[in-house]
Amino acid sequence: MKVLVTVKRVIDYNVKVRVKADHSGVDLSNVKMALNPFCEIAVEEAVRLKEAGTATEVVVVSIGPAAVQEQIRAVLALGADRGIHIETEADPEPLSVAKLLAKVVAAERPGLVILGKQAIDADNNQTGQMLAALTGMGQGTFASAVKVEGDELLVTREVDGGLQTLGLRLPAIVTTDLRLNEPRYATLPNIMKAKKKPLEVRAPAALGVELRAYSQVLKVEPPADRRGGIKVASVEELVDKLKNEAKVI
Amino acid sequence: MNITVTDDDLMLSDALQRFCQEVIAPAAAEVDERSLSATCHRPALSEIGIMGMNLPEAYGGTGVSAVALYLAVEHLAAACGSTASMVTAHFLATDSILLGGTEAQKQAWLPDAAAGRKLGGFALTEPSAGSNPAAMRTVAEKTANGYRIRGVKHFISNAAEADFLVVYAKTDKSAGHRGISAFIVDRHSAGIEVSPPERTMGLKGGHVFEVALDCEVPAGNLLGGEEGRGFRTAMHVLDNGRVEIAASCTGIARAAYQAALFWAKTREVNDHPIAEFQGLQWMIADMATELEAARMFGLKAATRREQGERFSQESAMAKLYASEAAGRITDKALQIHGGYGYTREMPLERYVRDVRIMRIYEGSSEVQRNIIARTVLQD
Amino acid sequence: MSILIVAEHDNGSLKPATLNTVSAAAQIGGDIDILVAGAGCQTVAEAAARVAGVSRVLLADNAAYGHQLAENLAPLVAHLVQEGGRDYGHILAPATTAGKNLLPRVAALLDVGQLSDVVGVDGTDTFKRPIYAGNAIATVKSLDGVKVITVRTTAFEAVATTGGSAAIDTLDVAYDTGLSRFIDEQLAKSDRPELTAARIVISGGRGMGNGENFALIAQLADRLGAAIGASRAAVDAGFVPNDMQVGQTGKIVAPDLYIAVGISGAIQHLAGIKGSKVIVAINKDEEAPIFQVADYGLVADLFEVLPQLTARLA
Repeated sequence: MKVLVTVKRVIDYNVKVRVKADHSGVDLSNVKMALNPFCEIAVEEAVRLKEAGTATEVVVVSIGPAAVQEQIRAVLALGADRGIHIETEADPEPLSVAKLLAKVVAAERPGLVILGKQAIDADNNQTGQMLAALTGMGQGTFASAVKVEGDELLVTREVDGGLQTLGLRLPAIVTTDLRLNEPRYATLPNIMKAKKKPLEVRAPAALGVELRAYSQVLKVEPPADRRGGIKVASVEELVDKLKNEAKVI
Repeated sequence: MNITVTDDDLMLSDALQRFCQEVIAPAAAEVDERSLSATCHRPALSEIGIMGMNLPEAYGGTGVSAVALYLAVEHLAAACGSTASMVTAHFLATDSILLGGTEAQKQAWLPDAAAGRKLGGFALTEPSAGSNPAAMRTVAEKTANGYRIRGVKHFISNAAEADFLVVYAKTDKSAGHRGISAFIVDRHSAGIEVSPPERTMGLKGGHVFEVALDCEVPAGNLLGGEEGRGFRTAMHVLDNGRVEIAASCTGIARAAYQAALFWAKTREVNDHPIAEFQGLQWMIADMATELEAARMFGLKAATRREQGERFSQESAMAKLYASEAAGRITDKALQIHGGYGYTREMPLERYVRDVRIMRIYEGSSEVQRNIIARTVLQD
Repeated sequence: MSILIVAEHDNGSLKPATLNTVSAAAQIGGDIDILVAGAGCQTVAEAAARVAGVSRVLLADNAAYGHQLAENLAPLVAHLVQEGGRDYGHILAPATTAGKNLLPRVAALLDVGQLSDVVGVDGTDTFKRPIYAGNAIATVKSLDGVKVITVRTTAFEAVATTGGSAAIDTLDVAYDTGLSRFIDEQLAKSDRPELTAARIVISGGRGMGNGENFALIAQLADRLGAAIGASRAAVDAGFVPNDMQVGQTGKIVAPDLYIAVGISGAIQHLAGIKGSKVIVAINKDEEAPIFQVADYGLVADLFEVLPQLTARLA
């Protein structure tokens, strides 16, 4: 079974972002970039499936400017067999990403597509579900365990109340949650070997997809400042503040 | 005048930095507090390929560039000075075989060492021969099957857990440094006694030992198959080692510097972050400048090494500068942290203790000055 | 234009998340319809019909919807938009795992984008949502004819559960794609949430006195669904195991709510909690440094406060 894994290049999760003074966006200049943590987990799961003999080939796809090849190479170093870079300077929205991926799915015909549940920059949590709709596949989102049994995929999902297990007809789409696995570190020999693995570059137009905007960001602001602390006089007042002012309970 | 850091170097460097921060760094405080041998990290270091980073692919190493090697050691030291010390000592042993051994010896010993299956130690220093290795008293006498090595080596990293030691001994007592030969000694040979680890000021996880030798080695273990080449081999090895020590110094200094930056920006006095005080700003400026300078020296030496050019002078300068700057940087970083810096709750005092030896071992600052003066004056 | 809300429920009762979503819909403006899709969920539909501000309830009661399988629900919602005859301009769901699982599939079927986790409404087509883990708030305008939106429930006050008297329309269209099947679920949470991922963390410090007293924190944590942490002092004193330590040399946490109980507030502890949205400190020493970083500080005896707090949140 071929497994397709998608990854996104995002800011490193340790980076504390700053909003630009003109509120046009977030300041990304000189910011450290990395593989989206949920995508790393997706890659790890795909590589484990290959090591277990369930997957025969792992193909990694990423969409973005030339720099994303750094992430594709990192994934090749982790055990993927070949990479596809869909090159674009635009920052496509999830539906556009899903449409591009749907073309790749149609061409590659994988048995399983694994994506991270969300990217830590835009925090949308949409792409996997949208791709499932476009390809007519079942979706196992927020997966904490995945198992192939015959031509069915058993997915245990982390839901608000606990865990839910679904059976999906293959081919299917999975999006990863944090507890699915613990990603490995690429070994130095594998990093060196990854340089020789195939990496194909395609343009969105070549895939027959025209990117369009479904929304427009009008401004980006920092979150409300932390107000100076106050002392409350009683438990009642504390509960009131937490419920009605801070709205955290 | 070139410093060349390629994209590949950076990719390897980034990957290793993350590994070091996530796997090695969290244990650093405990390794220091309890003097646990940094060899506890051997499985993880072996798996990722660090134990063979200094060796070419032909012998099972990863074949990374000297620049990538420099960056990797910097990251390792920033995470845990003791671990960097243990690893670079292993590199001294494997470099000895790589630079001074016969093809058969390289094939026999390097692959296991590269994979981390075997740990090496580098035994040059003696109680009465530190900066003056030519005065060593350990002797190697020819026997029917090989050599009998007798003597005492001192401050030898990794000795207790090593699988092999590269031992430098005199095969000709009358020939000064030209009488020194090197031998690959199986650590488990009869007649090797290793003391308990030395109780040191810093690098407490980088255990060093006194090794008393009265053992036999087969003739095939004479490094390079030729007597009298030991000193030259040791000097070549130490050229490499100096760049790695420079990297270690810069790594620890960087960790201290980053801690100081964070502290200065967050610690407040009278509602102002202390980073607003000019006095501290000047300290920070000095630290930033010296750190950058130390790294430039190291990268330059590494670049020359990678390009196959002579780099004894550059590596001596790098080691001299980085070790002395690291002392100043870690001291300032501790000062910026005030009383907290003096406590064991924070890593600052460990950074100060860890870098102190860097001005002493692998060629003291005084020896480095001799080397630099000699190379500069002879041009 | 009308708004269609996909109800959050468990076939037995309507979940409060739906009420927060109705509130968001009210801010957008327009008639509000609630879709109750499930199996044996008549009572849920009735509850939805009583919610203040709801115009109509659509009931889709079929085994295919019993476990909220997105593959079956999404085409239903898409059908309602495309052929329901109600001119829906907005589709809303709470940003729960159910809503997050379903709505993007709906959006893709309708060939429109989605706005996730909206925290503010600015008219009918402009919304605020957090990005970069809440370190920035984006104001976004939807360019689509139908706007698909998941709503962060804590940003909208729940509407009243009574006051409405909507009609209930029973739908007989059932989508059973066979792409997925429910196998089982484990909903009773026996373990606490993980410390570094929990929304609420309650930590105890040296002031707790001993390990047994952490039971007081445990009771409060149960009430709030919180994780339990500890300061280094409490760990060093042997009150609790070291995997509960929060702080520079322990775990770094950034919950929505961090309650520090009997913790003085050493810098190393603060380093581990700086990212918390709201910090509450309970300590009988009013000079304790923790009060300088707490949003809400209560100078009181923790042994009195903890039981009172637990009772108050019943």
